Amino acid sequence: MSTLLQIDGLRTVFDTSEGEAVAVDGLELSIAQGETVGIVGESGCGKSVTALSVMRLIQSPPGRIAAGRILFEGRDLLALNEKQMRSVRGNEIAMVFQEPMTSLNPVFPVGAQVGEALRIHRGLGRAEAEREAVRMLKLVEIPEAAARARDYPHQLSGGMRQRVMIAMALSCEPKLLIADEPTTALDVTIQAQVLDLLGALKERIGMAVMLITHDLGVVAEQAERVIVMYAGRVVEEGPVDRVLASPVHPYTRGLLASQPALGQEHGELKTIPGMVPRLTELPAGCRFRDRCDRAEPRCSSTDPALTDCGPAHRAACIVTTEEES
Amino acid sequence: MKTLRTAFHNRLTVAGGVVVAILIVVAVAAPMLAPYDYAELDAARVLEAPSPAHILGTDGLGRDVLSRMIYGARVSLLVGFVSAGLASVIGVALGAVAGYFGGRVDTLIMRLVDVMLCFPTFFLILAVIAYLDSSIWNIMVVIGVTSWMGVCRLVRAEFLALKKRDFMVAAEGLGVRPLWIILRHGLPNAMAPVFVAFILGVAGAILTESSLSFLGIGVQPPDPSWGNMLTEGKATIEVAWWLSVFPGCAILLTVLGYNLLGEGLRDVLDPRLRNR
Amino acid sequence: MTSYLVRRVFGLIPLLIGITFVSFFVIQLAPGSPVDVATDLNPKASAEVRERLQKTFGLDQPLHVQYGQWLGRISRGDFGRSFAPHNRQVAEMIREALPITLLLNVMSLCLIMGIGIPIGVLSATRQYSVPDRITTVFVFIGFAMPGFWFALLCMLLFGVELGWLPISGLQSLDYDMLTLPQKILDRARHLILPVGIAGLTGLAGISRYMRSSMLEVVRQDYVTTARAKGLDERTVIYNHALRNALLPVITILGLSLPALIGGSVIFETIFAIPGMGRLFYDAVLSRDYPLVMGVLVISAVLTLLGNLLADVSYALADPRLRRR
Repeated sequence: MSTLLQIDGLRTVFDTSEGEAVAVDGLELSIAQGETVGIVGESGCGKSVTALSVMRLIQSPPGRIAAGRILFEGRDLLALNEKQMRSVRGNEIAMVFQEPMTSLNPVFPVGAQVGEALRIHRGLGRAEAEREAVRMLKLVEIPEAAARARDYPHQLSGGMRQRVMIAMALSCEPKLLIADEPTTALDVTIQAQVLDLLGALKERIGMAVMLITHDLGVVAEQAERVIVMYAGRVVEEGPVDRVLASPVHPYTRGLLASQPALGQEHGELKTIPGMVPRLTELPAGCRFRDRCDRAEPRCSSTDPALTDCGPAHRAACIVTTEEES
Repeated sequence: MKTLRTAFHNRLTVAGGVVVAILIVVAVAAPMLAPYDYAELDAARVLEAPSPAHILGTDGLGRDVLSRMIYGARVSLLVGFVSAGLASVIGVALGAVAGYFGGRVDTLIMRLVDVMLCFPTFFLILAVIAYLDSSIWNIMVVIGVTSWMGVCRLVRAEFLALKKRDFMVAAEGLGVRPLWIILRHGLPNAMAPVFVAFILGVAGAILTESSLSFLGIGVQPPDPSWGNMLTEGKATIEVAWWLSVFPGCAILLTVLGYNLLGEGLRDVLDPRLRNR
Repeated sequence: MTSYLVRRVFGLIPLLIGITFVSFFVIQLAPGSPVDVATDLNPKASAEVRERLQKTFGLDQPLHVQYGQWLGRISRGDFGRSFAPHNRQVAEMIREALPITLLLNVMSLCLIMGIGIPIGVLSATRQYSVPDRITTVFVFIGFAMPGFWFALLCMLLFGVELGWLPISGLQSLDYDMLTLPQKILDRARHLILPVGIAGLTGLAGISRYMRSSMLEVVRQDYVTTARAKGLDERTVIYNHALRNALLPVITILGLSLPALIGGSVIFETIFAIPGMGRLFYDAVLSRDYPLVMGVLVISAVLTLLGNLLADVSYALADPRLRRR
């Protein structure tokens, strides 16, 4: 499998009244063709900002991509001009957002919105685009697709709207789909349906998926590889089975330990003490050390880099990776 | 960036406040500041362009424009405060009652607001003045009685929200009389937007009064009002440009000052309100 | 959609009744009575004559009966006769003057929308830039500027100093002797100042509202979605964002109708245009009560109709209201 997306040293910052907030700091990430990579981490760790950075949708001001390269099929997206970037968006890389309620334009029928990308990127006329849109809606298993295409977003349920979003993103058969918490706003039963749909479509089109979520269960089911982020950095990455079964980084261990097991009846839920550091006041050295139960004095002076700790498995912790080897 | 914006805003608000303060001083100290008496005639120097003796020129009866403008500030201030004050009182009273009691009382009051808003305010004021004579007190009352609707809606909205809050429910539970609850518990919390509306109301009242005086229906000559000075300005537009320019500048600066102050205060008070 | 319309129209009825109430109340404020007006100038009018006149005017009836009679008359379009020497039907006088006022106001509205909306959009898309700041300054001045003073200044500049534009009336003295194209040009020249000034003074509010509406819409998720599809910024702003941002502005336009109509008093008087506003002003000065009442009621009804129009337009434009 060849590399589709390669992110090197991405640094995205936001200028706030309290100083510069570094949302993504020196991120390294790669996704191969057809691969599904899950990105997990708690709110504010930089997952969404990473996604928006790849799409170059960071609102500037106050944000900006300060450094790094984002190589997509060998081309550095950050070096493209706006016109070239626009032909990538919605066409080669597409994105599905978290809130289906507010992510669709309330004054246009859904069919028109699904077909819009086709009209720009494939030059289809209005009637043709409408037909294609109906076909896409059928693909995402929306019943009575032709009638639904003329409906407005407010007439559809949350699950249906998310399917519409997926149809919209997939309309030009992108090579990479970025799904930012696609099921977080949905009911659990609908979640499962939408995830299954995503899996099936991914197979059909052969596209890679960057699946962003805070739900480890979703990652376990859908992803082949997982990347764990904390405070703007990757702290662990590897094959999903390995990372979830034998996590190396103390943060990942903490995340997994805090998940209540099925059948667990009493006892306190384990938590990770402390809070995520403020992005404007990031500490030197390892950013997790204040909350880490394995922290040593050298953790505050050295910036841990991602080190091998198994086949295709890396973690950014000096202490635990030493143990593994 | 954000601090830059706030600084700019604050400076404008302060500028507005300074203008307002200056105006109040000018109005109060008029006799001491005006170089001439506002009714002092000088037949020899009728319609004279601005000169060292009369910095802003003279009008058709030889009166000093600057002095008349200074005394005119009194009229503007008086009308502004009294009209806006009256409108605020009516608006607060009706709004509190509507918001607190709800139900049929609320519907009735809101219908009244809707009906009042159907009339172009200026038309209504003129119509009422047609039936009464145009003394300055009548003007103030009429402006007050026709501009309470905005405040009413504001206060009603505040009370609708306040009603659900614990301390209000607790007071009711203790059997406190409604009037007491409204006055003692409700109003203090609702006052911020009312204060802003009052300041903006003063600006509006000054504009309305000057328009009325300009049309000859407000303050009557020889009493000086910026509006009626402009009436003469229009009549002599081809020979005395200063009569059309300076009184208008006074109106513009005054209203601008009040608007800036009001808007600035609204920005300061609003976010605090939402965090409560 | 039709049910919404029907409900709206029915909702107007209590407002109409309310308008008549308030107007009738205003009539009662008159210090004298029509009888006095009729008999004041005639010292020989005896008590008998006065009584007869009272009966004719229906003033001997209790108040609510008077109201009923008045209501009946005006619903038939009978607003009485003017007190002026010519004694013409009030309804007729209004019918003559109204089209002119409507024309002026419609043209001003077009100007306000045509300039105010683009300014608001541009201000929002280039927030805090130099053009935005300058526009904000102008807007603030616009709010504080007395309309009649602005008119005066323009008259001074364009009429007196530069002599480019005429400053009164709707047509020149030699209008009838002009050819058709000349007539059109003449009319247009006379309209430029009144329409332009009325429009410019109303600009401030709309552009500011448009700006804040636009700013809110641009922050919405669906705008990010549109960008993520690869749409160019122009399509995103003018197609996706603007359609949504315009919706509340429609309502505001409707609500600004009373202000426009009210403003016509000043502008028509200043520019000597024979519209309803000037008619009203003259009536007020001469205490011509039937005419005053007639115009008051009609102007309120016009406002009501304008609001209805705005509501209907909004319902047509927002798909969320169109069905069910």
